[in-house]
Amino acid sequence: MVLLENLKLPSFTPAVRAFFAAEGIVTVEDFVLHDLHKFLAVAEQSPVSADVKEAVTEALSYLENLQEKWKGGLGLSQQGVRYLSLGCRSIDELLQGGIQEGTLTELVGASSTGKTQICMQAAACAAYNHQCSVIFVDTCGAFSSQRVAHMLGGILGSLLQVEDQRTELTSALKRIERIAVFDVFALLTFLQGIYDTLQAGAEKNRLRLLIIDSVSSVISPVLGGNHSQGHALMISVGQILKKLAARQRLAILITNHTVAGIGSHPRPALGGSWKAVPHTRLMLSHESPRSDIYRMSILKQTSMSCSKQTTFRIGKAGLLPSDTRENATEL
Amino acid sequence: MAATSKEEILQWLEVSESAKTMLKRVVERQQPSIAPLPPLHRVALHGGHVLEVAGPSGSGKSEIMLQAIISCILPKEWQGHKLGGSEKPAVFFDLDCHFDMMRLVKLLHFRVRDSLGALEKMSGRAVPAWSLAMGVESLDELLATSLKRFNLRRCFNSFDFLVALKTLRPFLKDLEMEHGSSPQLLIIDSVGAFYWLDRAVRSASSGKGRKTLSLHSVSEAVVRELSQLVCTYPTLLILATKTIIHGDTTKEYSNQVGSSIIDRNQRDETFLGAGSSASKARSWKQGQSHREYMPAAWQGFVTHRLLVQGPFDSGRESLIFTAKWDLPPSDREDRFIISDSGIELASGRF
Repeated sequence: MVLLENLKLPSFTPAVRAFFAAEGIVTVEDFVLHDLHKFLAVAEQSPVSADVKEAVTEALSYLENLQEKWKGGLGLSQQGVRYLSLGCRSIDELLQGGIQEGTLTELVGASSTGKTQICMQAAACAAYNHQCSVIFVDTCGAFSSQRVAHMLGGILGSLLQVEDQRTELTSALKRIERIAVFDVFALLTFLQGIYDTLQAGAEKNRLRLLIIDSVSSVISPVLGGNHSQGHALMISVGQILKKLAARQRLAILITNHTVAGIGSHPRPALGGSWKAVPHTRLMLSHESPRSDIYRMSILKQTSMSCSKQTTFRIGKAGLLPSDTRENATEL
Repeated sequence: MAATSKEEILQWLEVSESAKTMLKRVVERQQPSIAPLPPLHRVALHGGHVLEVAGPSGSGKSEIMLQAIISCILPKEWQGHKLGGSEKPAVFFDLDCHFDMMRLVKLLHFRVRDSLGALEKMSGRAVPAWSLAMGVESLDELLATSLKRFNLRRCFNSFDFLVALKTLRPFLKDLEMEHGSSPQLLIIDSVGAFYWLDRAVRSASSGKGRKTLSLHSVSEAVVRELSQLVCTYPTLLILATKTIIHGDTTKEYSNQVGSSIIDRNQRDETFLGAGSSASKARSWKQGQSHREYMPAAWQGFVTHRLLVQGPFDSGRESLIFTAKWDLPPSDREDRFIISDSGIELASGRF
């Protein structure tokens, strides 16, 4: 709650403030909730009518300037779309180029269906191929820098090249920042922190990818019961993620584990209200317990029709399309 | 005092409108604001109406909105070809941050090509006749001028949304100046986006009788701003989407597509096993009773409501969605599919 006078607008003279207060408008919230037409009609009869009118106009334009502006359709259509490749041909083809910048992509799957592997591969690929910084928010302690190094090796192709490009590899690894977060409050604080830094533009940040593995493990503990606070926290996380994606053009990759649903069919731990948060929802499953082939299918996607799927393999050096074998040199 | 009242009476007695202008105004208002494309084709929507499209996430709500936008921003005719648009500006409040510009551009392309397709068929050539006759540049220009009529604003909380609504009037005036016609379409996607956030505010106590952005006060303010807007712009049609929160959460997952092969097969059985199409349609509805969660102020503001469901596996390649009018109530259920080129009514047996 912010008091209107704290906005320090020049048109809010004591007389004007007194008039606002008499009508019950003291805070900014009061102001946006109030019927301003009625308010101005009342003001017509007062001696400070002109000043009040000016104050309303000034306050509105002040509040509007804090926000995103209206955007024309033509400008938006020329903005273009950028994708961050995942370094695996079959997955990139399914997603028409990888994870899209400015959107939230969610991986849903039971444990050991390759969620974290895809996250680490995305981090490695973005840091090396796209030369951008990556933030990896680790809520279950599953991040392994060694594994990411292996994946970077896989991207390079062979051991020989790895030796040549050791410095580049190190700098790519340095671009990946891992943050351990274990509860929803810490997550919210951290995300707000990133947003504020990016918004301030203090550093010419090259952050393009934000990964949260997994978002469900910090949110599901606060859900349940008859209280709506848990849902409010969950949607707050969703809102700040959407804000980061939309305003800072970040690609955001999050994971969501599954729980047993009806008839032992797995369902996403965060379902219902959370479903409106990600733009793309990808389901991962293990083809069969014996094979090393995994399946990825599109559950929800805003820009194309759904129900497409693909398969991939998780090898020593990262993700591979299921129809290719790993190079002998890597083994 | 007496003089003013006499003046007032005289003013009141004065002719305010001739029958001709009144008829023109009423008829204008009665014309459907946007081309009645499925699934909105059963009810004619005019200015001043408020349509709520309600359905679970992923049931094609946003797609219906995109289609409405295209109908609004496309011109009526272009170089002698009917495009069926209204050539009016449209404003879009993106509360969900799910708006996909590329999808809109793609659909716009498809729609224009579809409308011009008649020529192509007549000439019977592999190369579209219109592209030869008019050139790609003029087509690009058509798309660009249409897209200019579309305006988007993202809001991240109820406060943003209220400020945006309060400052909408001068913006609409600018649009009117620029395009020579008043905006015809206002879309809110989706109206319940801040439900949980606003609900939590209510439980946080507000001291000293100050107003807070609670669910009820926000929706009352939103409805008030919108109704005042409709007074100024009587031809404005308001469309809103609302994500349904299912009463029965276990049902929800089985509606999702492609989750696993077993899941899909099972649904195929229930789909194909049932008898007539009507009984099938009913079996989908079971357990999907939606719970109204928007406050009374919003519910009272809505004049039309369309319920959409889906996607359902049809056993074929395309997924089926269903649409049913809830307000005005109707028993008829339309089925449609969403392909890359947009919404089509599903025909034939499924």
